Amino acid sequence: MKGYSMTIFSSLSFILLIAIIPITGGLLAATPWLMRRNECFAVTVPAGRQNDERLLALKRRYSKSMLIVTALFTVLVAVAFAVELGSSNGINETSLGVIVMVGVLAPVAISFALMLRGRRAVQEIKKAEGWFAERQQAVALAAEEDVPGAVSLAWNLLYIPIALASVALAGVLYPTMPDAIPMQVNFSGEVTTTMQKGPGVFAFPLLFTAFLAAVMTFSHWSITRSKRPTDPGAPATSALAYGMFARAQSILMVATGLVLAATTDICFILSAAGVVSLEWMAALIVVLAMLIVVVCIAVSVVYGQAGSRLHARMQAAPADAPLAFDDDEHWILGIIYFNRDDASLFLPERFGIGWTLNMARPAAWALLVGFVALTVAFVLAVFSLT
Amino acid sequence: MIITIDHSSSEPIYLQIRSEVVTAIARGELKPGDRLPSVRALASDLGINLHTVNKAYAILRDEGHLTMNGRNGARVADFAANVSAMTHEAGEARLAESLYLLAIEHRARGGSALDFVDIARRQAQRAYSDGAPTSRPASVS
Repeated sequence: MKGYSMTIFSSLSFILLIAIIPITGGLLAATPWLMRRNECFAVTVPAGRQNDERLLALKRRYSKSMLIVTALFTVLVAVAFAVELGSSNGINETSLGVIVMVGVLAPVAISFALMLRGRRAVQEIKKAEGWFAERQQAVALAAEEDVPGAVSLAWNLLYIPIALASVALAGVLYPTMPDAIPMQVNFSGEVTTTMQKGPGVFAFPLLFTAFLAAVMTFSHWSITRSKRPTDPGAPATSALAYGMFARAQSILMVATGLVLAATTDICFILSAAGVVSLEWMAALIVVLAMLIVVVCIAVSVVYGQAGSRLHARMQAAPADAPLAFDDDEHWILGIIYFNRDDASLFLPERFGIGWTLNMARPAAWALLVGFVALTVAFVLAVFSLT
Repeated sequence: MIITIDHSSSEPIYLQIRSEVVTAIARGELKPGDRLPSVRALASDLGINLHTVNKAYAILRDEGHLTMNGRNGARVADFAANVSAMTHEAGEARLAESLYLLAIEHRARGGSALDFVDIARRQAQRAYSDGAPTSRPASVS
């Protein structure tokens, strides 16, 4: 039985780990097509000009390059895995971890470089065509109660019953747990780290749920506090599209966080009690994480950044509408927003799906440091249990 | 209701916001009790400073168009009910003074009183032609 489950667990893990690369790579390749109608490779352009053949060619070139890069790294990682698995020294998990990390991060780094290349090309076209804004308009909605937005933060209170239920379940199964509780299992199916039976059994699910709750609630909160971008050329439809996007993303955030917390807590407790083996629980969590990634990407592709694809379906832009505003000066290297005069702390990204920070606000730096510190603290706390 | 500002305009942004709100109230797009965005939300959405929005809201409050109660945020005021006789008179005095200055300028340029009244009537028609009734007592006939 042990040999059988080891093969399935490790095969599943390898396939899923490798599959992350083409899945995320696909989203990277699709990015230029998902951005708002006034932006092309992080440059403000007139909405009606997005169908200019030169801009379309730039987008196609980027997508093609990213698909090739993605395929390349998928193959590289698969080969590296095969080599590592076939090596006579046995499986070195650290090496595998490094291989996956490089395989996922390298395409991201390359996509950034390719974006910069596209951006420079668009800037030249923009200068040659004389696409400049005669005005600098900004638009906001007031007294509009029907526009959708992020769902209520109160949904995050559901982490509390999850934590309580985990403690209750752990309490019920406590007597059946062995003295050494498996915490880590390697790809050969052997338990490599154990935890002494004790308060740690309750501490781990609580720690994990608390960490996930903190991160997800904060991310949800940042969506509610974000700048709501509105296109002066189409204020009502763009506000509606963005509102629907924010709503969908916030629902995703709440749902995936709660499901992940509940699943991980239950899996850990059941495996601690010996009801199911740790490697099957680990495999389940990996499958769940992959599903979450796929769902998030699907939602992102359907809605487009800031609801741009919804917005595109609502109307067509007049080809000759002049630029009503130009944001370029506030975006460093196209992706870092820096604007002292802007009260916003969070705002939609310029090349990518999601939100970014206004780095001119000291709070933004504090948040970056805080996030790193929180993650480090969480990891240290979990390791201290074992 | 949509608030539009223009960074490139010579008119200060807080006055642009004030004009937008007052125009919306006049046209009935904003009714008494309607909630305006919080200072932070409006500043964030327009990409401007908190101070700028604070100034705009402060002026609107002083003029009697806005009320702010901490928790409930900024709401459009019921002008007739909200405004004291003193504020009302101050508003009327400001209107009279502005018209006087415009008339004096017109005179300095060699225009006649009749011309001035004519232009004033046309602009009043323009302001009042949107159809929506105002809730305050008519002060300009």
